[in-house]
Amino acid sequence: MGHGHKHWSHGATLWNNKDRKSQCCHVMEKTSIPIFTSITGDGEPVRKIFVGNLARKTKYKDVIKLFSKYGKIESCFLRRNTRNRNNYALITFNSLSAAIRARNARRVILHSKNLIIEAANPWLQGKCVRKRKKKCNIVSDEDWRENEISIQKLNDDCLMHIFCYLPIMDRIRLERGKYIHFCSYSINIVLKYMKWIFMYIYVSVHRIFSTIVVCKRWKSLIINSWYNTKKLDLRSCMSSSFADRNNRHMSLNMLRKILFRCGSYLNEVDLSSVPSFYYAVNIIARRCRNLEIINITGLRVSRSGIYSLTKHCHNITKLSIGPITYVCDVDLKKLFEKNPQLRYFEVYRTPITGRCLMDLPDTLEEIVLDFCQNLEEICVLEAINKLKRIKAFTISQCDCISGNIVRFLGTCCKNLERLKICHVPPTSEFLMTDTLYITELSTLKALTVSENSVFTDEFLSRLVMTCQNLTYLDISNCSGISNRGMAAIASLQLEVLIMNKMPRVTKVRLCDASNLKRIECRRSKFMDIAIINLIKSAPQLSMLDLLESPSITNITLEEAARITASRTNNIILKIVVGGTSVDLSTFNNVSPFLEITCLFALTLEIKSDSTYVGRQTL
Amino acid sequence: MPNIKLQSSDGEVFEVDVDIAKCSVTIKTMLEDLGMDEDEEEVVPLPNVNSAILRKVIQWATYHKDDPPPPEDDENKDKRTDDISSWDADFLKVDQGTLYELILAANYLDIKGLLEVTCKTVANMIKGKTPEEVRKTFNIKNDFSPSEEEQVRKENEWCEEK
Repeated sequence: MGHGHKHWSHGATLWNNKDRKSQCCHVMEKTSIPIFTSITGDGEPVRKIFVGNLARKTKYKDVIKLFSKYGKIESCFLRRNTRNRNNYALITFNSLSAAIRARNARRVILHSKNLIIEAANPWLQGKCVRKRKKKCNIVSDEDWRENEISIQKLNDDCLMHIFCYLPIMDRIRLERGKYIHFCSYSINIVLKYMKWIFMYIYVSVHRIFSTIVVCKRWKSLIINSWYNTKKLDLRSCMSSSFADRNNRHMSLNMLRKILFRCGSYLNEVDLSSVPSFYYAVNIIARRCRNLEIINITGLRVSRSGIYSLTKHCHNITKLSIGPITYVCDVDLKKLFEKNPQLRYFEVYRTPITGRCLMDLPDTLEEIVLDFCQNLEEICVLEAINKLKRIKAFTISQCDCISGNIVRFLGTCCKNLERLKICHVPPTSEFLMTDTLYITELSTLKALTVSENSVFTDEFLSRLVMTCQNLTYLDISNCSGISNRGMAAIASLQLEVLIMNKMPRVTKVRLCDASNLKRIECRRSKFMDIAIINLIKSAPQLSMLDLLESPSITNITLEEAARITASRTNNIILKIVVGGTSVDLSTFNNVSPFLEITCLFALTLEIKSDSTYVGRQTL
Repeated sequence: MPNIKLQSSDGEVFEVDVDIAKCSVTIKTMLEDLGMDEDEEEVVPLPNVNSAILRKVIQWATYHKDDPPPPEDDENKDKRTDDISSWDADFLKVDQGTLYELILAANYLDIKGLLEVTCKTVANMIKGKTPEEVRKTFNIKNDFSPSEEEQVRKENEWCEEK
């Protein structure tokens, strides 16, 4: 039974390939009928044969019909539609002699395929699976050896540890009684997505063995371990998984199966960046009624999907939704009414008018409106007026962004901690004077105003006067800001400063850079000396992005190596230098706390175009 | 190198380097909480571990003393089971009884690395087996009556693919 876990298709086919050669030799060497072994090593008569190279169209009854002439067939198993392999069959005759007759047959042709006939693998001999099951059910008590050591001596804690290492698929396979060609460990399901990206779906759940009936104790433990499954995280990671090509793709059915098992215990799903599954939302909603955190920005959401969410999920605290292709204000309104505990709402690429925002619960803490071109200004204003307690507000790439919205934010939302206003359309009514309302938000900790021309030096100097708590500032591509504005922010105790694509800025100086962790200045005009001074003053700096800053040379790296070598806090400084004047071939200074990455411009584009990066860090 | 004395349940005393002993969180906290000085001739009793197992544990800990500490975040860890090093695989070529004893000892002594690798080994043994085979392999008594078992089957039928 040692090989019992090897599955038929796998085992048999491998064996088949290997032995096909040896059989050819047989035929060539011996002209007489070859003598087959009639029993396996375990003493089981070889009554089961393997029939390979079956045509795709060959059906069960064809096989039965063909092989019945050798003797009475007890059972026949036909495996069809095996990927990359030919179909095959396993036939058990009721007598040994029939099996040998079949194995002696030469040139058996079915549907113009020359069949391969072999003895089936030894561990498949004897009992067909159905029989084995029956037998085990009856005699399992006898199998139990009273005095021998058993795994049962392990305590629950240890057993749970072991279950954690079992793949979820193992369980599904056990229940289906069929082998699924899935990767053998955890659940790394590889998805083929678009032309060249393999999405790597990774379910970070405790893998459980669940309802496999071993004994009562195991069953209860297994049920408990399902209970630990809280989060289903299907994240992508680009192209890192080419090695896993053999794995099947994540199908909607697969998702369904996983959700059937752990759905009711989940309180978080992350399905951002998975290929669009139609109807997936309906399944998620139906199966996972206790969901609190939902991110389905990777899915196409239909009207019925929102209906399902409204009907089944009433505990949502965090919802990220989109792209939706229809105006769904009315449906979202109903969803909000059912979910009074909502704290976070994100909508992406959805043509909502904004009417539904008025129905968001008063207690909402964060709202993200991204790429919603149909938003109406008046609706957003009313929503802001209602959601006075909001802590974070993001509006990006929406045509309706206007001075009025900023004025409302500045006067109504006194608790606002994080604000992001990006890509204000140049046509909108948004004046420099309007931006000053932002400076009234004294609680602000993170501010992103990238990709706007309306923000100026004047704005920054006014901002610094009132918002001394700012630790995150993103002013990328704000053409109105120059060295004067940068001088103004010197008094802030920033942790993150992002200033990509700012041609008018050549100097940066911070009075207190002790907390500074990350700086991005892509396509900047910075000279070496400015950057070196920055590195000197920032002992905690761990990320310095200098992509496509042409004035940066090896001097920066040499100095960075020298400065970081004396760091005592073990923080590693990572410098990105693609597209600069740096020549890495001549740089050979080593520091244990310096890591230099040379990225290409192409990767830069992908990174900087995705608003997702910004969204995460805000 | 300061040493520490560990006493197994059957009375045998092992003298071990403190750094090696400290890979067990249980011993480490014991030393810290009780303020046992390193030069003291104190013997640490380990009533749950017998000498044969303790010897194996020390052998494992000595080999792995320079390993980097395992990453903390349990949530996102990739729970793969095919990454057992060849030394560990050899080390764990023992009978089932010893393996379980090792798991219990690793759990008691709180040695994450050893617990991980032993559990993976057992998980690999369970993988791909039918319940009957699992019972056979691990000598588990089936305490379900046939009718109860049928009941469980039925409970799970609804979620099967039709």
